[in-house]
Amino acid sequence: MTFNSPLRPLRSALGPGHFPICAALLVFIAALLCPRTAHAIDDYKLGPLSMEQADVPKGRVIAHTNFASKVFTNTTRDWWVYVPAQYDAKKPANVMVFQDGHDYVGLKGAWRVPTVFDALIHRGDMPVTIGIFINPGHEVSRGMLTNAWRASNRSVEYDSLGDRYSRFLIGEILPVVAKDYNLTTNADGRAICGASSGAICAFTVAWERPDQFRKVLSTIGSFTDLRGGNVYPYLIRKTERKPLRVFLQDGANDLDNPFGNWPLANQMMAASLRYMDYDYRFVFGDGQHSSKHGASIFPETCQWLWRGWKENGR
Amino acid sequence: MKRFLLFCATAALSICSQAQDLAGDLTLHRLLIPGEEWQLVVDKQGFVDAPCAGDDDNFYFSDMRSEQGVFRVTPDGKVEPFVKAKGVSGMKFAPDGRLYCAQGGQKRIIAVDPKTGETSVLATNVQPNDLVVARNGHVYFTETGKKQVTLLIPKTGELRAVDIGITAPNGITLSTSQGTLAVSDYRGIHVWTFRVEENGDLTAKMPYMTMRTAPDTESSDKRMRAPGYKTASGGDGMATDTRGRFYVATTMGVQVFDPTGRECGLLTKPSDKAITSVTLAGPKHGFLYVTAADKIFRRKVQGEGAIFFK
Repeated sequence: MTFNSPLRPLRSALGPGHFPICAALLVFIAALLCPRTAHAIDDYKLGPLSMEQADVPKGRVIAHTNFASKVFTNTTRDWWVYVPAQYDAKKPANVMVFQDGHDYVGLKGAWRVPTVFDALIHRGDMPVTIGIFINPGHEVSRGMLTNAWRASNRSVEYDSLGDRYSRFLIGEILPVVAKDYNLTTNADGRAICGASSGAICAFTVAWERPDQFRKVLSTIGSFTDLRGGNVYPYLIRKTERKPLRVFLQDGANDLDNPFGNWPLANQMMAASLRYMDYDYRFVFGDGQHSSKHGASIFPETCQWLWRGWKENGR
Repeated sequence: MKRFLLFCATAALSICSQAQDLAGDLTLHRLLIPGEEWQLVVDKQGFVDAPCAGDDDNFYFSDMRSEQGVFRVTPDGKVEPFVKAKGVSGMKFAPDGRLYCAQGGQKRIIAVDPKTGETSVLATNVQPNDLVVARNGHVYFTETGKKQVTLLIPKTGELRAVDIGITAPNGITLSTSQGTLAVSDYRGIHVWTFRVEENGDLTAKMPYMTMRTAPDTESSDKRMRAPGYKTASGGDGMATDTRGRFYVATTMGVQVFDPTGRECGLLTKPSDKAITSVTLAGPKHGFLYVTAADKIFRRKVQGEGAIFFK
């Protein structure tokens, strides 16, 4: 299995008129601070917490195949469960769900979530957390799927607004995992993560069901008009604040296409979360539509997302 | 000094994230109070509706399934029987001091004198859902099944349809000046407004406010780009505050609009049960009350309810 990111050819750099001012400032300050560093865009590398360490106890990853959903009928998908070494069946574990699960679950891929979780749980930086990695559905009628990024139902499941995906996740996937593992039902102990369309999907789940998921990790999120997701920045400003903690990452060189401008859309999201006094963090770099930046800061992001877990019990 | 000023400006900006609101914008920040959430104030009733404010600090409601009918909640939270009136789905105090009640099940509108308990019938053979009483004594009520808004002038006994055609006219309220009547469409997405003429006629009908609905995840063509949205808002009981804001109980929660019909925002429902109506009552009429099945919730807001009987 390969772990390629869904890189699309970059159309063009954003015109100077569109270059976000804060990014320009950041670049300017960075240039002042390190005048001798030649910097290529989207040049992000994984840090030590994403590398396997001999003295860190390793969790297990259990693979599941051919999940048949009643919400998304006639689809099939593979999915995985990560169980940390520290898991104790007597204590409810926290939960973190990853969309496009195949990209996150591998030990050699872009994200290496099991390795990062092993390290962070071992260090006490995050609670004992069961990871659930779910691929988007692929219609059975379309035959064998060779590349998980091309799953035929991905856009329908991820880009659509509303509660349908959350009904699939909460009503179908979580009960199966809960049969084998003691999962917390405390929404503050449940996080959801995704990149691109998987990111807006993660946000939608928490937006629709803050009683179930209250932590969101979004990288290169598609808060654009793929299927109407461009409305979120405005919905956020005109909806009573929901009890969510939201992390957003994007880069100045992300997509600019018929569906919208990803860097601007993510800045809009961040501005709206700020306007409504959400507990949020926005990291804006110079990356493209890839997971390089998001993955490189994933350990720190998890520390931020789960901060205070010892005090709050979650 | 410059640096200090810059620091102050930055600090002020970061503290006050709403620094750039226009003075006239009635944002959610000008309605909600941090830390003031929904609180359960009435529980274990049959089915509550017809939340109502008086000229006092009490809150009035109807339990449609009880023999007693109408109750009040005192400022210290005590629930007491108020007047006997069964199956009331909407009620308001009138300038004559009586409580006008819509009794759809009995196809009539009645007036109850709170001092004597005496009940008079104001109109029969009608199907009232909710009503509002203006300062001049005119009563406007929705007859949802008939797609009709009806005018009743108790003094003369005049009773006539003043609008026909809203899909499911349900909640009804006036503007603060009482020059505009607003009617929510339960099965549509609009709150309709009318100019209230002196003789009681309604003119200048407009789909003035657009209520938010949830994405329709079942009906939309899966290949279509934009999401489909549900076409029924569940727009139900309404209220008005002294700043001219309109409040509507809907499927998604309480939706609030400014006097020009723009959406101020959506307040989350207090429970997963449908909310049927909303009003501002209690001390200084500064609490937003919602009826939800067998329960009533309230929260303190930055707003004061408008009352129409004086």
